[in-house]
Amino acid sequence: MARVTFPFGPQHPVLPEPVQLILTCEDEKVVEVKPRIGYMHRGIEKGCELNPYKHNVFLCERICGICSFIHAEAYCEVIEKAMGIEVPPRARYLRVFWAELSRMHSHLLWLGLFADGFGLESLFMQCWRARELVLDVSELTSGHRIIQSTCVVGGVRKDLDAEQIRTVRKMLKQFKELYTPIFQVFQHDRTIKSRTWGKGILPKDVAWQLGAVGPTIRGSGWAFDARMDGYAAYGELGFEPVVEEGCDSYARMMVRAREVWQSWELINLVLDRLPAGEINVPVEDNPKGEAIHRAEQPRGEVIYYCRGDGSPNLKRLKVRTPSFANLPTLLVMLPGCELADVPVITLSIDPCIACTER
Amino acid sequence: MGMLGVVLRNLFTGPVTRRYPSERREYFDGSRGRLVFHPEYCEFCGECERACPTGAIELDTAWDTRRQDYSIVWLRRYNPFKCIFCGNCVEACPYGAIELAEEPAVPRYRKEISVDEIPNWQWTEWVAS
Repeated sequence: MARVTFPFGPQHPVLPEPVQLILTCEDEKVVEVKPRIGYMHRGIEKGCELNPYKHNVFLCERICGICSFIHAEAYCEVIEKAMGIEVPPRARYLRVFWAELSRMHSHLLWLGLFADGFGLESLFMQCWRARELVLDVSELTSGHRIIQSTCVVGGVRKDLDAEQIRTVRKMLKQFKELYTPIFQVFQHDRTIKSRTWGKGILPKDVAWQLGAVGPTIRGSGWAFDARMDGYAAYGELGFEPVVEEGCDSYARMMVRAREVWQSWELINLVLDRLPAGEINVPVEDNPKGEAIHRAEQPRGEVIYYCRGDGSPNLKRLKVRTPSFANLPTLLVMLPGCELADVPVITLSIDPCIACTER
Repeated sequence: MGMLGVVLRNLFTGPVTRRYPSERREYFDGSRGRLVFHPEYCEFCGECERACPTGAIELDTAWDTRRQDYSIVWLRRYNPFKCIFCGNCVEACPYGAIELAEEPAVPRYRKEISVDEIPNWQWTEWVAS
């Protein structure tokens, strides 16, 4: 049968960001796929070498517009490791609070886009309606809906008072009422199952060999999560990763849908156990030596590496982002699928090209 | 069936969206919106310029073209299109000359840099003598 090769993306209605897939099809079946990236490289790593290291927090926060806080947190933690700074307990708990808010709104954004990808538009709107509540919590506590800018080297910049905590608890209760029916739809709806069940299979051993991270590998049955290392306050909060055994798009979707609940519980736990005390320690020195830090983003594990020589500017900052690790899995998931399933399978790894290219 | 229940409930609870330009949402206390500068409190110390991560604030001097005696004016240039509204300058200012308003900056037709003259640092007679 004749083969047809055509581009899918970089501008496509289901793709939130520019990644191009060169698809080769036989009739309606995909036989070969080549992902192509490089449409939005911004040179952030080089930019970080030119700024004073304290100003880089705001630049690293803009590597990704969705998981911005976790980038800032990972950057601060790697600098703190290089300088040997001990962060106060309250700051560590507050970092978990904002990081989990980021994860909640990122997953809800993705669940909405995914619902839109398989054609359930009213579910897309419901997800984004619930997400709006999470963004309100973020604005109430940090002053901004998405770019929180609350993390600094040595701790955090903002504190929660008793009044705010009461309001946040009330809003989290409202969120539970909104999200419960949405979660049940994702879990049980026949239409969703028919579009996602058995689509884009990533076998357990292949997921490990390809170095997949985040919900992509947890959907293939591996309990692999950087939060298990216990950075920030995760070690004290008794964190356990969400794992699904299905290895398909449905399993990856359910990992994210269940992680919204997990984040909701973690935020409640943080508010219950928030220790009193300082929220940051003064930092006067410059980083000297090198350090590496792993953190868990909504899309998977991010790795930060830094090297300093005692001057205010870093000599090198390297960021390995989760979508970069997850893109090769498309080479396994897409060949053999129907052309109509390509958007759903591509979206199931939650590709974030702004992260990937930085 | 689950989705049908959600949709039916929404039919009877009214819209959750706003008619935007006429009806605006209320901002929370401490929202980081527009940057407001009070030149009368400014002492020209330069803390805000050093704290700004994007270089949106510049302190500078210039010849006062309104006068004939080669006097100098002290200026603060602020580029709202470079500003990321992080609030570093607000925290750094020891005199309370900068604050963040809750409502966000409005879109503009032209990329104009706002220039403020610092009144505390004017050309005075004792400097001339």
